[in-house]
Amino acid sequence: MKVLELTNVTKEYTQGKMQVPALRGVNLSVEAGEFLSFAGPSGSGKTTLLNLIGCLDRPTAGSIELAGRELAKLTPLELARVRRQEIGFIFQSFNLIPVLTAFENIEMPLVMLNRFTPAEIREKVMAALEEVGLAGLESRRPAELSGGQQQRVAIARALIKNPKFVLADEPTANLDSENGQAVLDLMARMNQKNGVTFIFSTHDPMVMGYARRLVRLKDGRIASDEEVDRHAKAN
Amino acid sequence: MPRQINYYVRLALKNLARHRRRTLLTVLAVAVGLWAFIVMDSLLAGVDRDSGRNVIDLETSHVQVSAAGYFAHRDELPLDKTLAAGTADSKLIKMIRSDSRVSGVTSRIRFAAQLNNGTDEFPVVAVGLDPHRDPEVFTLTDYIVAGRKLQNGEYGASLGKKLAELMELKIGDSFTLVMRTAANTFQAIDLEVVGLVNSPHPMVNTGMVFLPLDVAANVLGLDGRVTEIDLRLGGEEAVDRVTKDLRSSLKSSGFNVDVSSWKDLSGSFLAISQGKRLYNGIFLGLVMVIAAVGIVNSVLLATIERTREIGTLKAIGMNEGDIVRLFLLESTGIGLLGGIVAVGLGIATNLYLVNVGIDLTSMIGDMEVGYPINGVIYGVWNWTTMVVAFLFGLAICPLVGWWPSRNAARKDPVEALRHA
Ligand SMILES: Nc1ncnc2c1ncn2[C@@H]1O[C@H](COP(=O)(O)OP(=O)(O)OP(=O)(O)O)[C@@H](O)[C@H]1O
Ligand SMILES: [Mg+2]
Repeated sequence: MKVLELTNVTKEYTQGKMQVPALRGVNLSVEAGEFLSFAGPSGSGKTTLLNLIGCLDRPTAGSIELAGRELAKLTPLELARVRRQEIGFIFQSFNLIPVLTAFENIEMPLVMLNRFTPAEIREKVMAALEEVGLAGLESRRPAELSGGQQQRVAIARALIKNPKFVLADEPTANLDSENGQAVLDLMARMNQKNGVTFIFSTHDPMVMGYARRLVRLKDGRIASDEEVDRHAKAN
Repeated sequence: MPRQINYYVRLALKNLARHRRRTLLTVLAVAVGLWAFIVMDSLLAGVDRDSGRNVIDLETSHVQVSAAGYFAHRDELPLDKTLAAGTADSKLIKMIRSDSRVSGVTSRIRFAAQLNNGTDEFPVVAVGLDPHRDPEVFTLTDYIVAGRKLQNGEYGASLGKKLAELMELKIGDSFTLVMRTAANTFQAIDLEVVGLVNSPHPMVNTGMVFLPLDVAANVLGLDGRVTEIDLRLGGEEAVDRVTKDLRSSLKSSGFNVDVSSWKDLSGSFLAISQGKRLYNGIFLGLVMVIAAVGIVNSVLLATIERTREIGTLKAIGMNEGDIVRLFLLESTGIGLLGGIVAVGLGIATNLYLVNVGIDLTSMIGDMEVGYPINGVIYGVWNWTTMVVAFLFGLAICPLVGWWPSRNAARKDPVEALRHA
């Protein structure tokens, strides 16, 4: 099932009087449950593309259809609702709310959905903590957690509401390779288990190795788009 | 929604705790403003209450009956508009006494005079009073600090202690009172100082001479006539009603008189009091401007520091309204804390003001402040003011916090997330 379709998407930033082209006609189609990585050098447009898919920004031209909706037709309020209901974000620098505990950070998307009782929320959050290997650390604040642990809290926060998509812009860039791999293993497992579509970006070859589909960007265009046969690689 | 509110309130409180010092300072700015309002209001109410009491007890009584037309000319102290009410058995007084709400009635002659001590002359208001009936209405005799009360028929006078000092008069000394009679001729009498008065009403202390009613009537040529009948009522609340009722009942009984309440008679002091209220309102406004600057500053700083968090919250799915509400909760928290501190401090301060008071003489000396009050001013308990101050803080804080909150909420999430 197709869950994302980008047609001729371009994005230009205005810097002073200059127009800076960041994406120059991107076409992309993504099926449910994919584990896809954007790769490419700095400035190639990875972050820009993820922001557009994540409803944080609008393209200069072209269309984006996400989960059956044409994003250009949505109001800012509707875009916020799409983010709230369908999308989980994982950030390079974790972006947890520093005054909230791990538990409270993870619970926030559920509170915002306003659909669950406190007991239900508690059960879900505790299960999520268990899942990401942080059982017992629920009352720690971000500052009391390592980078790897913080990113796992962020993963739990992104997944807690069962979104259709998880978008992760360089999720391992601030982690050492051991923690980076642990985070990627976790993401891959969640993808397998829940069928959530993962789209992330990186310029780290090790990370690219985890992707099952690798979309290379160059100067705001798709340079290559290939399925990765992990078994072939492993052999 | 309630579950959400719980969560967001917790978040707001945690954010307020993030910069304890800044939050505390802002709370204090708000609290001091509200506290000052509470204290000012308490003192002004105290001054009003005590001034009113002084005016009633020593100057006007609750309700005054005078000849028709006297009220309009009362500042000139005319002697051509008088009542036949020199004695308690006059028809008019009997009629007034028949109203059960009236607890005391006396008659006075009020006239302009010059006090002459042989060297200097000083203009005074002289009052002829009935030594027996006057204490039913006025408290003058409570404030005799030297000498004794007046007696019928004697050529004696009580005067304000200040006036006596100014004119270098002591108990037993004599002075001359010069006046125009009802027939507009000059008249002079010698009076002996028999009592000195030191009351809380400055006017009584500095500008008034009291002598027996019969002596005054005699020298002024007002046989059996007086300029005013003064009434004390069982309770002050009845003043307006009794004034109105007497006006109609006396008129229908054929008495052509003016009936005025103490409020009618002391219009100027009430005007000053209203003015002070206005001043307190402006004062409250000014202090709240300072508090508002504190709040705007504090919210503005918070939104700048938390730019990336705002980006994150938007990415997670908050819209502008959600973010505005989040920050408004924080300013409301400041208002709430400020209100609690202000009311707490206000109660503590008022406890002192009501029971101990502020001794004005120690602060501004024996100066006249143009107010019928003297010495110590006291506070008054006014819970309405406390509630108003509290609610005002609670309302004004989110109100002024709204603008920076909305600014924060409008941040572009992409830009906000790029923020270092
Ligand atoms: N807010 C902006 N204003 C102006 N130009 C921008 C802005 N954001 C990105 N750009 C430009 O758009 C292009 C694409 O940027 P983008 O951040 O998407 O690249 P990236 O692939 O994420 O790079 P990196 O690996 O360094 O994160 C770059 O040339 C960048 O300078
Ligand atoms: Mg980037």
